[in-house]
Amino acid sequence: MSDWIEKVHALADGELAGKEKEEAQALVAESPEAQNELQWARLFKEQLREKVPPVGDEECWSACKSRLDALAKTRTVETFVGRYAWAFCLIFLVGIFSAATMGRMDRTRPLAGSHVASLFNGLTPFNFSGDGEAIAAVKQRVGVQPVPTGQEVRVHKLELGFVDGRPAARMVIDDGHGEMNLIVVRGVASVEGFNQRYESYSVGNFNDARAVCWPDSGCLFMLLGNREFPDLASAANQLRQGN
Amino acid sequence: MLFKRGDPQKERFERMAEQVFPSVFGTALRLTRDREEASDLAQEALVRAFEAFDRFDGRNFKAWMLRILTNLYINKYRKRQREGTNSSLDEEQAMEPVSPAEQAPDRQVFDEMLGSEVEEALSKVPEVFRIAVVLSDLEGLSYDEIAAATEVPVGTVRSRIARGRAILRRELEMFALEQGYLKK
Repeated sequence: MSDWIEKVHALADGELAGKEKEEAQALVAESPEAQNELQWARLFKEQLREKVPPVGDEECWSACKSRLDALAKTRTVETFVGRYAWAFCLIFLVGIFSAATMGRMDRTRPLAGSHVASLFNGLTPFNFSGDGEAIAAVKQRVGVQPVPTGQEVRVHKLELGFVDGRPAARMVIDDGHGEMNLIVVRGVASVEGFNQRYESYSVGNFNDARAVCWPDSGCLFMLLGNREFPDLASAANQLRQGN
Repeated sequence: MLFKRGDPQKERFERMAEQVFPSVFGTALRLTRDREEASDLAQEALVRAFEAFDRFDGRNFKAWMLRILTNLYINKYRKRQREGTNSSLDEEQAMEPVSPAEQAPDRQVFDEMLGSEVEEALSKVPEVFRIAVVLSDLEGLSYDEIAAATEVPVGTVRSRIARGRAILRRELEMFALEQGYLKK
């Protein structure tokens, strides 16, 4: 399309300025063809607007408003969440921490079988020079003396550590009738699955050994050995004397 | 209070959008030539405008809205084009010789015509020219605003408008001759 036609249309649209406008005006003044084009352009604009008015659509506008409402609601929630995200995180963390702490403090929760197993392979050996030193180390770890003073038991081995986040000790002791394991765990009162009773003890089996358990001074005591339950209960009674 | 009863920004946007909505929907209709598609396009444009409302410079809301609408339409159109539909935005394909007006304009061409007939003639104008004519002649956007909306230089806008009008004029004249509004 000729450049002059475009210029004439731009003139009709009021889109020319300066020298270009002057040139276009001069062209229109000189050329009947350019005059026709200018008149056409102006008539077109005028008639198009008259014949083709804006189109309203109530249904579409209602749909638009609904979408805007939904968007505004989402944005409000997002703004709120964004503004207080740190608080939500804090509450969440406090919740987790509280639940964990309460879980640890819950003495009614029994010691799980897997935790009993970790008493045999998850504690750290403790070297000691005499029975007294071993017993003192256990008392320091779990807060209670495991064997009364004056008892005739020998401590052959001692391991200390934590089980399920609780202080724990395992001693291999000898009461003159053979070796046994004496386990002390703070903050727990029973062992999962040890539902049978013998005298005042809850009893059960762990691997090939039998065990008797009793709670004392905020700790769980557990005596394990290759003996019958009456013998284990008798040994436990001996140990508890004077405690 | 955690949640505000009314969102002032949304209310302001809604007031402004309601005023220009006939232009928005009308333009969508003239671009898509389909009422359902036009409704989708207008809604999508409004949602995008609302999301970007904080970036509106406060000058010409209608031009800003139509710019979003046109951009959206062109992008969707290009996507459709890539997907293999027949319609094309290729300006070269739409080029055809258009001569200047040979005589003084005959108002009769328009006088006898109904709006729907003019709309039909307008719908026959190739895409790129129709967009320019609609934005310029129906919506009153400046060449700069059209250039921004269609993402082409102002010189291209000028050319498209002149060519679009020439094509439309030819369509109208042919229609007027067919209908007997004009005599050869």
